Amino acid sequence: MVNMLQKKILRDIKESRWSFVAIVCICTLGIALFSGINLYVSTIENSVEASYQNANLSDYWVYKADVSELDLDRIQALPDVKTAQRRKLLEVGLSGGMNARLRLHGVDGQSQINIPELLEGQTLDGTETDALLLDSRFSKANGLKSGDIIRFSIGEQQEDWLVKGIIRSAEYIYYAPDGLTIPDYQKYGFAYTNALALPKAPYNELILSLVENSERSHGEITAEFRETLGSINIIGRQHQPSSRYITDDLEGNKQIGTLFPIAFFLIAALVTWVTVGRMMENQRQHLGTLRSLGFSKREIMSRYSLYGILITLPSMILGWLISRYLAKFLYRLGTIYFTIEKNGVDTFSTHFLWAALWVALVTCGAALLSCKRSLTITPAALMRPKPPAQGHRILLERIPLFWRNLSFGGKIVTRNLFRNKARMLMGLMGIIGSTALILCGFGMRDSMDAMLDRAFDQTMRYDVEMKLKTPMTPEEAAYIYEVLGDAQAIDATMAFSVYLYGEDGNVQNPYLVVMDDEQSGLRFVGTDGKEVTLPDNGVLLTPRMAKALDMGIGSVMMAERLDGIVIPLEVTDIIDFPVGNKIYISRTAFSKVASLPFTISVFLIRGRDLDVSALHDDPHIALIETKPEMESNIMIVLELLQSIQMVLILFAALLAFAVMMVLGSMNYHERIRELATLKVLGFHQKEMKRLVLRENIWITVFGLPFGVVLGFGLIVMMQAQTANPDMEISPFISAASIVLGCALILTFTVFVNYIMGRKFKSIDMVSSLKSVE
Amino acid sequence: MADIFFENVSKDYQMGEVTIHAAKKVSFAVKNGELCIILGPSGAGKTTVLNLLGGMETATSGKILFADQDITAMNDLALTDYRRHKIGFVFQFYNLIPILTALENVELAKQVCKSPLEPEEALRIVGLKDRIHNFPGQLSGGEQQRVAVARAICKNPDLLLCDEPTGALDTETGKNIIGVLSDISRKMGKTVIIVTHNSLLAPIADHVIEMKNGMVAADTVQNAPADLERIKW
Repeated sequence: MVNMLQKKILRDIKESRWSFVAIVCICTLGIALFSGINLYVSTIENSVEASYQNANLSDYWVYKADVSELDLDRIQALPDVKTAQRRKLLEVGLSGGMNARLRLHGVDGQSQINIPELLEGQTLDGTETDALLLDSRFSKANGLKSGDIIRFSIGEQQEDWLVKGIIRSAEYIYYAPDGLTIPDYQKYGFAYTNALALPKAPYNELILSLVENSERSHGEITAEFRETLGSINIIGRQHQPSSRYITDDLEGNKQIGTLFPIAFFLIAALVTWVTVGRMMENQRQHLGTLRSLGFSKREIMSRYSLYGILITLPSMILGWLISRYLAKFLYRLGTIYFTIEKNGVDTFSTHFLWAALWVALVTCGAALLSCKRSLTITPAALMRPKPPAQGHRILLERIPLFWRNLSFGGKIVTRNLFRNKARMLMGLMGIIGSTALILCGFGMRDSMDAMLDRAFDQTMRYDVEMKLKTPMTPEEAAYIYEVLGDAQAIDATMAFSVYLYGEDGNVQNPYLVVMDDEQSGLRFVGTDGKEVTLPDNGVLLTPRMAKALDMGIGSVMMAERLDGIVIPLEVTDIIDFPVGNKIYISRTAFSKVASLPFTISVFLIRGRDLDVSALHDDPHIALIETKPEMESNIMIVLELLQSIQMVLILFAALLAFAVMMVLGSMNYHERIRELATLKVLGFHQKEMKRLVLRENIWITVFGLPFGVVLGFGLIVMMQAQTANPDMEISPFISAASIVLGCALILTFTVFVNYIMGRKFKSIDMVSSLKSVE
Repeated sequence: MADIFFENVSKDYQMGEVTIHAAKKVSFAVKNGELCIILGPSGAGKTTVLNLLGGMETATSGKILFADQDITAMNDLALTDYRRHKIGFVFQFYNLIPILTALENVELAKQVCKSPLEPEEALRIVGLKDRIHNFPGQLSGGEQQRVAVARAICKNPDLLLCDEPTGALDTETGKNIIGVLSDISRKMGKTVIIVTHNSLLAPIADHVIEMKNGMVAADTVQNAPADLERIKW
């Protein structure tokens, strides 16, 4: 008995297979998108977290000219400190034309914190005096293996060192020093050795981990450290370059992976709910028959939940498969510059379960609810054909001017639209939602492009950026000016990292950039679009920073240098600065608030076709980057984001198509009788299409403007959430994108109409009209 | 002049491996302006014959002539035009468009033909005056069937085909509908063919064709048809 019921349901599904397939597709897309992006993020999060755990990554990095044993003991004695270890940090340049540099950490004894992970060769036993463990990425880029001898200069001396092992480190998962936009593994690497291998160097680095349940804030901890150690530079884990980059990167992706799929899911859920509900509506006579045959309500309900299950199960399997592909694709792109163990994408994350649960709820819920609603009617009433939908006059008919001028077909279409409000609403919502999603996807691209345009064409006036390894006085840098004699303008700037403390423990770690009053390398624009010059008093702040710290014009911030010197900075203006998150101050204003001497750390140079080759091998210069180089590097960084955007656009388009398909096919199936009647009356196919299919186009055209508006809303919400700390992306959708997005949706509508129109031919007038089934 | 000719018309349906012979070598002739009733039990092939004549289905073999035109030779497009200009259909279940008012349902038919009656006129002929602005859902079965008839005659067709027009109606209402149909034949001179299983209707027709098992069992022309008022069923 029960088996027959199941069989019957399977046959019903076969009858309405296109709606069914479309609904499965919609649910699949929702599951795949949500769990795919989050699977990718959680995989990286897990492997990063595992690598932090295995390495026992430090919570703080403290820098001091000479960390004595006493200092170490004192720090270790602090109640919040669990472990502390000293290291000797120095930068060594490799000999032999490679112009490569290593950050060499000489560890005091065996590594207890920041333990490197050995990949090849042997680890150090603590006694070697000329052996090191070398960065795997660096060794690969330079063709080095364990057992090789490398030569580098420490101070004036050339020394030969044995590469005893190849390692990676949780401190250097992402390593792009000296303001590089993307890592340069050939030029920059790191290495670990024993402290006793560097007898002449002082201990200048202290790494420490806190006890697990420490409740002290960053501010309290740093204050305590300073009290204990005197003048020091402190970097917390949140602000350590590698870990901060990873956090920001994952956070951004996570936000995209949450908001967009949720919007996606809402639309999918709505369409699914309505469609499954209608599928059940069409079953009402069958329900009546089953009831009259003596099936209990419970039996029928439990069997009809099969509808929901039959949608959920395939969507789960397909969604899971696609989410794995999606995650793999993103993982491949997203981990290019992450040096971690790459075991591939995890099998699944809890997000998948949530997505599947959601789909199950919506589909089974819709099936059961509408089944239950039907079952409250007596079997006898159920078996009678559903009373024909009451036609009624619609509001528009009360506007005679409108109604009288409407063609007959127009009247039919209008009235049908308004008669079936649920279907029209679902159609509208589907259209509005998918238009909004597509435009949001396009808009993300546009916003990013606009941001880059703004950054490179309007804000950055300089052509070459040159960073110095260590700050120089203007006198020391005189020779650089000579080499750059052809430049139109050279702006010498001083930049150093500062901590800014906002309300409720929010800490920001931007660069304070001191520039000539008359600088021409950067163009500052206020939030009102008017040009702003560097003021004589106070600083210029980006809106993002101002928001993060809850500062406005006139607020005074206490900027704390890494060495503890505090500089009071008054906010003079908020500037619309797209890239970077720096604070700008003029030399005049700086001299009023700080007694530090002006030293140069970065040159911003204007002038095309400058010959800077003489400076390429200069030992004082860390980096020379031209504007096109910066642009192409940024594009590499943004590749992942762009791929995600493409994925979103693709999914939105697929959703739009599936929604149209459901709409079209439901409209067709529910009106097959009307269509047959028209056919009998001798209507040509073209005329039938005009009467019946045109309403899909009306719905689309009517929905598009709302979709555009919602798309704007969505992108504003997305950008507000996904704001990258280093980029100011203002939400923007270009006219071309709007046209393209709308055209895409319209094309889908026309295409679905075409498919449905083809079916008109095969409508069997005789069987469609024979009786009410 | 006899207008409709069925010459050895057969219709087979292929249902999987079973072939159903719905009509077997059916031959008859119906004259212009006749009120013809096709009579027979369920499954006798009456509806098949009607559908073939109406261009809703194509015959497997044989020839159907209407006003010297061979319907069996028409393609889909020609059949559509044939239905459009020559045929009016009335069904057992009315098949009105629920979102259109009575008047609009009739106007719908007017959309597609060359010399239509005025919709109000068609509705007047079927005796529906007051409720022409109501939607089908607001009308009784008999009223709905009147609208369906009005829709069929509004096209000003040469031939009115009615498939069990009283099947869903009570006796009195059914009688009214038959009255309307016979008036259309008698007063407007249209050829009207009614398919029914109700043999009590037979006396009012000019011509009765009885069918059984897909074949014509009897073909009777009645020179003195009975008055509708005296029929009881």
